Amino acid sequence: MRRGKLLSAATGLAAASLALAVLAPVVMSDVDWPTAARDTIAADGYAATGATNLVSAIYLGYRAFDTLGETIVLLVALAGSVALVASTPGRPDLDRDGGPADSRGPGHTDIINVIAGKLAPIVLLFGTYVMLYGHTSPGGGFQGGVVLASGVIFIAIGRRAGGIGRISPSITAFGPRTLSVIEAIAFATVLALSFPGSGAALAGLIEATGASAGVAAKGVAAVGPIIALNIGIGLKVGSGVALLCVMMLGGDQE
Amino acid sequence: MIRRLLVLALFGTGLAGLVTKRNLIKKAYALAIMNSAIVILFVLEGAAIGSDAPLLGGAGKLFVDPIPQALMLTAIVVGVCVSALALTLAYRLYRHFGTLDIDEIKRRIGHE
Amino acid sequence: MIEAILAIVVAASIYAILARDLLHGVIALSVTSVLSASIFFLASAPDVAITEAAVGAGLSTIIFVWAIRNTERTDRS
Repeated sequence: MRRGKLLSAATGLAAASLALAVLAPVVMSDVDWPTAARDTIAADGYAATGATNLVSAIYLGYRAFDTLGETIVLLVALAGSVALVASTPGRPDLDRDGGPADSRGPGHTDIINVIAGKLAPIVLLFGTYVMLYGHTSPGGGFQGGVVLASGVIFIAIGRRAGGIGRISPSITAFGPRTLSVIEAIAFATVLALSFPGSGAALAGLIEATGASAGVAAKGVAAVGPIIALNIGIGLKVGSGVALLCVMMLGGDQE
Repeated sequence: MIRRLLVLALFGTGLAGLVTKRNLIKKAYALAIMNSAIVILFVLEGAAIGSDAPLLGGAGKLFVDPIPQALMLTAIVVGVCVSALALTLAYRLYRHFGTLDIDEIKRRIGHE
Repeated sequence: MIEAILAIVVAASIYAILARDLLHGVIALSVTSVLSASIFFLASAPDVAITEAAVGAGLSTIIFVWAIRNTERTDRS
């Protein structure tokens, strides 16, 4: 038995080093990184998309369909994880009489009780900022969504700990049901924005209401669709990831 | 050159862990390490052709390549989904078989 | 600078793979993520740095700790 284990470990190591021997010439190649794409985007990116953050210009302007596909990957993976977590029988969280798992475990100190609830609004505010201003400063839908999810997790931890700053589950807007509704609506928004022409229609609508009057210079594409996509992706990523983590923390029993 | 060697070492660490460790959670660690090695490689290589972050404004800036950054952004988010799915699968297997050892699980599946 | 941080990242990853206590491995992995975020900032990729800091140090740590709490803490192989 022990010999077999050693043998399989040795075989594994040999396979890994062979794979690395194939990879090494690729990684260590002397070819210079091409500059053509960088030059094109630095010259035309702002005029074509209206976003001054070139990373946002690429993943929501030039490659928005790629981002849509990536959002679908995210949706499928999170849906699979949530389904597996929810359907697994004999969860230890439920076995211990009532109450979520470690609300009285040794790991819960006063520091967590005090900090978690109070930190949540600040983190949520920062996440909203990162999400809304992704077109001009570092940030965007994915980053803002993940920070928003951290804020919701702080709320869940603070609620579980029953410490200062907790929010009663009956009035909170961050239960699993609400989160899944938000995720569905945000994903529908992203899908609707991905249809051909809907971005231009949105830009025209914003221009007609005069909301962006005088913001966009002549010959620069309106940035409205990018902001809308940022918000949609941010809410979708944030609520999806937060839903998974809240269910993992045992928040689905309330 | 040192950077690429270190990134290769990072990737090799993940690959060796993936093929030699039996614990399923260790395998999830290894996947996360390989993912971050790829992200570091692309960002560092894209940064080789410039010195400024790709944010417009101000004159005479020499930007780094923004395309690998945009791609790695999605790679990181997909990476955390891979971790989540892998760990929930490992948790489900543990609930069913009572162990995280992949050889043990394989043996029991063969017996059933 | 970047090389030094990268060397620490490699060392922490090797520790994460080898550690018998899985919880120590998670902490090493989140250290890896924070250091990677600083590498991305030094390589002038602030977008990637924000994502890595939020995802790597925050969310994946929560998911890994959840998995360990609900299964086993020690690697018995």
